[in-house]
This record gives sequence, C-alpha cells and structure tokens, in this order.
Amino acid sequence: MMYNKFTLQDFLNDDAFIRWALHNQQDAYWQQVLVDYPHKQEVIRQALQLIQELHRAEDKQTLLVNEERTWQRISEKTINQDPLGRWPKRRYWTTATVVSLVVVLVAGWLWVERSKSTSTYSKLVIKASEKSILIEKVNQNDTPLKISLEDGSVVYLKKNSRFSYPAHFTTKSRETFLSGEAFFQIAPNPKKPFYVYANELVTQVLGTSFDIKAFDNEQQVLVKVRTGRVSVYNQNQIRLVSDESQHLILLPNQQVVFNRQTESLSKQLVEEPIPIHPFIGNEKRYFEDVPVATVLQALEKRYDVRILYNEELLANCIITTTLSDQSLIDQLEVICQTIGATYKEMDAQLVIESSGCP
Amino acid sequence: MPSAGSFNTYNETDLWESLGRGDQDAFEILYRHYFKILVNYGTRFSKDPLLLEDAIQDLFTNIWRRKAQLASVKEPKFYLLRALRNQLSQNTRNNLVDDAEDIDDFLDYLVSISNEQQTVEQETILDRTRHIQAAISRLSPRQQEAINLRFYHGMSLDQSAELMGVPKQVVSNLLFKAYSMLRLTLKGIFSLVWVLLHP
Repeated sequence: MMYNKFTLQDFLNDDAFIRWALHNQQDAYWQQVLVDYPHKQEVIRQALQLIQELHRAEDKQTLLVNEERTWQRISEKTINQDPLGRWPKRRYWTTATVVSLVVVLVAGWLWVERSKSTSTYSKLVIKASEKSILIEKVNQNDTPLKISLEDGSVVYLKKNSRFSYPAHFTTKSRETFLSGEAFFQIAPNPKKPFYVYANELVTQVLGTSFDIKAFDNEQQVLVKVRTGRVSVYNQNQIRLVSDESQHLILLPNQQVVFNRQTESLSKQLVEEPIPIHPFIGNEKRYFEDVPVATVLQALEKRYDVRILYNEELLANCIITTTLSDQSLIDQLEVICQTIGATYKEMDAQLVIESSGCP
Repeated sequence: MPSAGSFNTYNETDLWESLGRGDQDAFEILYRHYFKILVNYGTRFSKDPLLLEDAIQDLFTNIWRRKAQLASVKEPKFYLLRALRNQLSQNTRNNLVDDAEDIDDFLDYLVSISNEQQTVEQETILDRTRHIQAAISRLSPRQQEAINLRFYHGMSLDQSAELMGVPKQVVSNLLFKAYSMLRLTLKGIFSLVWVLLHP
C-alpha cells in the first residue's frame, strides 16, 4: 500500500487502520508505515486521535440495560428448561472427601479495607497486625517447614516462603497470610472458616487439603486442591458483593490460576489428576465388550473429574479395557484412540469429541 | 461459574464449538462478553431499554435453539450485530432507520447552535467527549450507525454495508457527510484536529 497521497479521510476509511487504532492489530506493520512515511506521521496521529475520540463518545452513548435480569430471563428460556441440554448432576454430597459445604459469607468491611490493588503480603500483614498479634515463619531451606497451628491444622511451608498467622484465632474465623508456596491440611471446623490471603487471591475452606503458590514477583497465583472443596476469589473484585461469579469452587484434582496482569481467574484440571477413590479389593476394573460410557463413568468416579460426551453418539462404541490407578490422561488417550475420538480440557472438565462409531 | 473476564482465557472458536455441543458455561461466557457490545449497537435503534432487553433475550434464546448450526460461524461479532438488528426490526415491526436523510433536523440544529455556543464558552473545562457525543447525536440515524459500526465496533466497510443493507459506496458517502457535519458542529467548540477534517 502506498500512503504518499493518503489524506486524513483516507486513513479514516481504511479498515486495517481502524483495526490498528481500536485493537492494536498489525501494530508492527503500522509502526513501519510511520517510519517509511515520516511526512505522514502528523496526519496519522490526527487520524488516531479522531478515531479514539469517536470511540470514546460512542462508548458512552449506550442505554442502561440490566445484564443480570436479562441473563435470568434467557436462562429460564434455555438452559434451565432444557432437559437434554443439562449435564448429569455431580454427586458432590456423597463423596467422603467432602468435608462440608463452603459457605461464603464474607464480612464486607474486610474487603473494603483490603480493596487496594496493591494487596501483597506485607501490606496485608501490616493491616492484620493492627488487630491481633501475628506470628511469622520464614523458610529458606529446601525441606518444607512444618507449622502446626493451634486448631490442629498443619501447614508445610516451602522454600523462600513466608507465612503469618495469629497466635490465637478469633472466635469467628481463621485468617492467615502467605507469600510463596505452601501445602495446607486444614482441621475441619465449619464454624470457623479458614482463610488464606495470598497476593490478590483469597482461598476459603472449612477443612480440606490444598497447595497455594503465590510469590510476590510471579505473574500467576496458583491454588491446587487435593481433597475437599475450596472456594477461591480475587479480593480486589469481591467488592462487587453478592455476585457469585466472582468466586470459584474448586474440587479435588482441580486448580485455579489467577493471572495478575489480566486479573482473570481460570479453572483447570491439575496436570496429573490422582485417583480420589483408588481401587479397593476386587472392585471391577476389567471391562469386556461394554459401551464406552460405562468405562468413562468408572473413570469419572475414580478421579472425581467430570467427563462430558454425547451419550447417543457414543452408544455404538464398544470397548474392552482394564483400568488402573495410572495416569488418567494416559488411560483416556488409549480409550479415545480405540474409538477414534479425541478429547480436550475445558474449564476443568474433559470433553470427548467423536462423530460416533459405526 | 463464568465471569466477564472468562472470555479472554478462551479461544472464541472453541467457545462456539462447545456451545454447539450444549455447553452451558460457554453460552454464558459468550453472553457476558457480547452483552455490552450488543447494548451499545442496539442503542442506535431504540431509546427504550426494555425493548432492547427483549431483543437481546430473543436473540440469545434463538442462539441456544440453533446452537448446533452456529458452531462454525465465521464472524461471530458481525453475525450477532446483524441478528440483533433483525430482531429489533422484527420486534418493532417497522424499519429501524428511515431511509431519507433528515437534513431538516440538521439545519434546525445549525440555527440553534449559536445560542448553545455561548453556554459552552462559559464552561471552564470543555468535556470533549461529551461534545463529540452531542455532535454525533445530531447526525442522521444512518450516519450515526455508520460511525458506530466503524469506530466503535471496528467493522470493515464491507461488513458495515452488509449490516446496513446498502452498497459499500453509500456507507462511504454517509461517512463523508458525517465528517463534514461533525467538523461544522465542532469547529466553534474546539479548534483542534476536527478542523483539519477537510470536506
């Protein structure tokens, strides 16, 4: 493209130029144009300013429509009344590892006080030590440091990490602070939820075990669940109270990654899911000529992981296989190869993609 | 539960494919992402929030019903904008935008502008955005739509033409006229870049 004769209006009429101005697309190309056409720099700058001003004005020109109510109305007409579209409910409540339902009742003042964007460890600790005496443990060694808390909970603090906790917990909650990495085994106590503040993330449990990795200088905050249920949220956003979408419930073999730059929370499966209910005694592990769904259900139960598939499509897929306590991913790979399907992970669930079997 | 930010952690094509298989979370993530965009575009046709709410509800109810066919949709944003426009025009049972360029309105406005200018000059801080907004609102509905599609939604000239149901050249002309009217309106208010926008 030759830009020698381009006027202000020509730039405004150029699709690619607008995409650059609005979404920074093909930035390298336009940076080069600026270099190649020095006498056009002023016009380009003006065109950019015009587009951005128009965009700002258009952004404000918008009606107030209630997003939540509209969504309620949509879901009533779609997903909440569509029996085929609903995936089978999980058996949360029957599993022995579920310690108790995590009730998210958060004292509002706590969040308002901590709502500043720079909610890193030291600031949180300074704030908390105004209310009670904190004990701080630091581990510089390779071997995890075992810390026993007064309520019977145990924390294994990993290398280059700090952990602060009150000498005596309050009557209502157990609040602790972490910078770095640690594994937690929390003594169940439904009346006193256990909180871990780690950078921007708050992890809340009633009794369970999990890992947290939150180093001040790292881009991500990671929470990985071994047993029980854990509730995780971003404490900067919690001010938007009563919005349930702001916190994530994690189940065993799931982890949440918080990206500190984009402030987004995403739920995933842990890399190597471990069997939550290993084989006991002579439980059935050999399957001969059964519909693949039978085997997938057995895997779901064993690893407590949700596997989604189209039952009708897979009805004709018959397989013979032996399950083991080996890697879930390896076993799933073998099954998929056998029936000519593929799988992928989405939102901490495994989705089987198949066009069916003849 | 998906939040507004979830959209960016996924590839959009994957989301539509998952929706095609009946994934409820993908449905909600797409809704949350497009809600604001659709409300913004819809505002160009309706000043009634309830009417717009109805149209968005109908639109997403239809999307869920036809999710399997939509899995391979190429330009989702363009598709949704067009679907909303159709939905609004269906719900109101008439043409959204009068085809005639309403030049009379604009002339009336030019007459009144000198009065307004005095108030404007008395203000110590000029809110540029508000003035540009006001200037845009004086344009004809079709000029406004063209500006909105191009400079807010980033639609190409081809896509804008298809959405508005007119040839590409007509969109260019609408924009051309819009620029000169904006220039006229804004000239008295602030004398920066806008004046350089030669007709």
